[in-house]
Amino acid sequence: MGSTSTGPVSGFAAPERDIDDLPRNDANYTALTPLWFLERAALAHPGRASVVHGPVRYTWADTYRRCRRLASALARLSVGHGSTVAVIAPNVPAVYEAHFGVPMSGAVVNCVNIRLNAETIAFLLEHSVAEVVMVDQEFCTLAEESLKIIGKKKTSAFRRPPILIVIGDPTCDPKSLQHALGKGAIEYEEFLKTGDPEFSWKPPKDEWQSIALGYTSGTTSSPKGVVLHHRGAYLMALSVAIVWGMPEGAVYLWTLPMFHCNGWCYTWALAAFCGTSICLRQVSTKAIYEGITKQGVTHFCAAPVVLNNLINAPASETFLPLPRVVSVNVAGAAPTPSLLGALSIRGFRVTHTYGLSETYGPSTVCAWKPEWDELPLEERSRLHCRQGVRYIAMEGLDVVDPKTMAPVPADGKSYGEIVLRGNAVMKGYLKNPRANAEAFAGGWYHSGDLGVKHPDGYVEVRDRMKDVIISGGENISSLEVEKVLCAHPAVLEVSVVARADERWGESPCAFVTLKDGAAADGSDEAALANDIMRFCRERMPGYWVPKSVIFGPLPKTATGKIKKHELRARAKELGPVKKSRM
Amino acid sequence: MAAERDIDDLPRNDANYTALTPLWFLERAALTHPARASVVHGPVRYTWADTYSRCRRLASALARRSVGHGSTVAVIAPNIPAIYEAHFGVPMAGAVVNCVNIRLNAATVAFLLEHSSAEVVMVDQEFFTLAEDSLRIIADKKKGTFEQPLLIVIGDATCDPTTLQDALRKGAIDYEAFLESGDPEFAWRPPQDEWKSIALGYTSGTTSNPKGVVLHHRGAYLMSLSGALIWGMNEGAVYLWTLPMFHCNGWCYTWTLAALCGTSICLRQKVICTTSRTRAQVKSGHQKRHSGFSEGHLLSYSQRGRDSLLWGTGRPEHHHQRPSSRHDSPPTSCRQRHDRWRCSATLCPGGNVEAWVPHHSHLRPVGDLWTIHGVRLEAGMGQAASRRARPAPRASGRPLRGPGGPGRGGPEDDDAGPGRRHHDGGDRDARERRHEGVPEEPGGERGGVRERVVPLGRPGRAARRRVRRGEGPRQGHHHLRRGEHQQPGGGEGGVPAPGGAGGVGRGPRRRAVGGVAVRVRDAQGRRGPLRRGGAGAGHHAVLPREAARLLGAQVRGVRAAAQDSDRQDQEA
Repeated sequence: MGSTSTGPVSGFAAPERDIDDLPRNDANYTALTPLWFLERAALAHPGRASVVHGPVRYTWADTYRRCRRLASALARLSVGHGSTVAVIAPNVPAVYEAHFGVPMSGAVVNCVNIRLNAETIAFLLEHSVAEVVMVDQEFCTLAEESLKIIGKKKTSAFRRPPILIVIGDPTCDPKSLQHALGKGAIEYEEFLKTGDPEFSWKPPKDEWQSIALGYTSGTTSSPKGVVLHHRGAYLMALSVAIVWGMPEGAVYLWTLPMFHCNGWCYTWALAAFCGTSICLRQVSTKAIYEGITKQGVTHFCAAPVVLNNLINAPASETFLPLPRVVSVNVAGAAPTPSLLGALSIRGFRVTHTYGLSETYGPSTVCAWKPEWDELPLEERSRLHCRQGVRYIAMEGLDVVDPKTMAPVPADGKSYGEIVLRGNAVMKGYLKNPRANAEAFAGGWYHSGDLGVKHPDGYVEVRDRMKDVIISGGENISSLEVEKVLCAHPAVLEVSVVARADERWGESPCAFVTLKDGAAADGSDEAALANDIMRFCRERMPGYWVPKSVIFGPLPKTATGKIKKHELRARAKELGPVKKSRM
Repeated sequence: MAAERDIDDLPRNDANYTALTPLWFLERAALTHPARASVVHGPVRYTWADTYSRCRRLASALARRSVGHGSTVAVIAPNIPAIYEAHFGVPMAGAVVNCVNIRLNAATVAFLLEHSSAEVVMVDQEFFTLAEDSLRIIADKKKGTFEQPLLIVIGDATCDPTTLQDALRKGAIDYEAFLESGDPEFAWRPPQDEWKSIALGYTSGTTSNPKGVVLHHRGAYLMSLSGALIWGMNEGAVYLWTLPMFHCNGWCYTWTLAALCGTSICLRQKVICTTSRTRAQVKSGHQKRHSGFSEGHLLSYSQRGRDSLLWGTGRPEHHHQRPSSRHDSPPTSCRQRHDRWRCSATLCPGGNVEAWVPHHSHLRPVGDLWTIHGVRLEAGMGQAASRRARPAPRASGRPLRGPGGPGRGGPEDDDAGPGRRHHDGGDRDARERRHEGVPEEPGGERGGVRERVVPLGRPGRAARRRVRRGEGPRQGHHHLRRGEHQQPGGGEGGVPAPGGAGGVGRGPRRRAVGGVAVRVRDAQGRRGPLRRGGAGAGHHAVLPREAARLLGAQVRGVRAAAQDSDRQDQEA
């Protein structure tokens, strides 16, 4: 294999002088790829548990063999460089294996959000031109319907229908598996058997090759295909382990779906430090507590909604006190002070990170400073809620004026767009030149999030640009309103969007999910809404107080993010707030 | 070969591709933990903000003298802050840092400086003569065609200022003054190509002429992260520089520490007499502190935990024994203890330690820490040291535990590495020079006095408690401990000076020591509140089971580090 030349990023400057002209060669230059981690884990700790799922327990030696089998089996089907393998499954071992086995064949792994409907999945499978679809037995019907939708289109991009592999799970009802097999799908374990457990996989020649494809959740528009490179996956895997302080042998609970940005790169990180994955098909508070007490879980990630459930779980499902300090990585939305406080009291050490699908998941961390320990809870929480500083593998983070790209003052008040740059930024969006031009304008990746920069250099998200409410010419941060609402004792979660207002143009409209004990019947809803508004009036400017409060469950994406565009549509259907209500 | 197919043709751009270089780590450390200690050396204490500013000054000062891409900057110095700064400041200027082994002779150094075409030589004051001699050798050889490199002398307040003054008189530039000429906000740039060279080191030349090992930015970045992950170093680790930074750039821990926003504790010399605070600090730091004890061993006498010795043996004169055997049979006979104590005395700065601790019989060994490797023994001690089998301990003290403890099979295993044995000749000469010089130099004695109270990191709460509870028969110690806590400015505290200079000289020495004691007090005072861990949103007290798990991980980390040390040391 010849050495790969990576030229200078900027093609304009003359090459810099050096003290030597020593070249790359096979001995001193190897493409960065997380696949090396698996090989090393199997060599260093072959007998250690790698992936545990119910009664199923693999060692690192097992996982390495299985992944090589998968790569080999795919290669025999002529799946490799330039191919995409879609995986539609919850957090089961096969998804973990796909993160190594698929790239080992040279192909790109595309983990699909299982919560999407058939129509959206059809779009994704066609857009990615998936040659193979690995689907968990429980989701076979979903996959079938998606493929049927594609089949009906005359302009399908498929050269041939994708190969369908069904993943059986002994913890599930076997009927769905039998049904899938009856329709001609290949069973996953049988598929592995067709592969060589000592397959001679090769790292990519160029670490810029694509390793994974994910689609944005479509909270604001149609899904875009995020293409990730091997180099970034390697660097971010090391970065997340170091920034979070994951020691060799950490035990990680898969509360975060692996289909969300490849599990924020923890799939690959776990191999780097020879840790253990505890799989969960479904996340529940009981399963989390059992993982901690019975499986030795030391780390897990979660969106605030999961943590909310953890804190508000009935006593019968909780196991307190915890047998050890458990590290929780919170991202996806800013955790509220009350949530942080409740978690800390129970023994969870919370690390707040911020990230995007386009930046391999975590990009910034609110690095904790020991001197903050002495502060009162509210102040501590206020500091902790900020998104913080860049991860090690991210080389640039700033808040800039969206028009001029000039950095905003670090005063904690001046709004700007959060931008990032570095090796943990995606290659770009698949087949979407326009989106790429916008995303990379000015030499930075544009997050689309509004934020401020504090004097200590910590960044704080204020809102997504689309989520600002403009009432009477004044900006209202929906995030700030949500923070206050979450502190109300009856509120489990909330999302605030703009609703048209005859007098003010727009006004805040709150969609609220109540805690179980606070469930209200129809006659109490009005009183509770009034109580919530009064609660807000005591804590924020008057024009920020929601003028509408609507109760019910909130629509969510894979990560527990609230689908604000659906709520905006609902608010639109409600029509404008009448003047008479003022 | 043909490029592999891909699912896309998306290109690199300024947003998604950046050259890998450890220089990014320093910028991030200064942003993330600007107030945290970065480098500590005697009374000198820099924060990450300081270090970033100083490194940019260094880069700027070099750039102003047209030192940059294609240039090499040689550094001849022991483990002092300037050499740490050179690992960032020199590459920030685009140049390559070449750390020279201070144990080489002038002829070899001359070869290296010529081969590397060093444009700048940064030299510690103590080694100025060595640098001077080397440059003279080159000049004589080249006869008029040799362009003298820029000579920068690094002063060290813990050393005799005579050598510094001599260097300045001869036209060398003072390092701090050199930094002053640079811009603390210099707009450094990462390399355009991560394949660019960042550092140059030379092999020891045991079998041939030394060879120049060229390292690239990419490798330095990756090894820095890899080293941290494999060894289990966490953010905020406190690292003791027993391993010379001129050995393969300190095995990349120079850069690792910036990635982790950790703290470097510099040691100028491997021989230091310290008080019980040092011992307590080392012990208390076992969960967070790391040390490259590749050439060092920790000896401790547990007479109420007052004193401890740290030194490096250089090279083993005898085959290295496995830690378990040392642990099983430490020698305990009175005569042997006495002999070893006298032996170690000859290596302590200031020479005469006996007067300081007159009651040898009160000393007790601690576990397996009797082992002395490669130390020249006075007449009659050779037999004792060469004996492999040792009698069972009569009374065993509690062994010192932690990643730095030799009983844990720490990095000192590399003493047995094959590459080391070839160095005996040269190192013996170096040891002889040091041995002969120490008793005769008053400066050394003064240095010893100052070094005696050098705080090696900050003690945890438990360690401070132990120190407080310790009882000493001597009034001086008692007074010192009281002064530490009750008088923040307690100049009259400080450890007793060793005898020798007579009554007249004792006053000034005690005052100097007192000044350092104040520094220790400040560090402890500041540390106190930060350690109290109430229920917080960020961190919690570690539960017992968690502590046990962490300790286990620590031991595993140490073993892994030992293996790494063996391999890397041979390569170095």
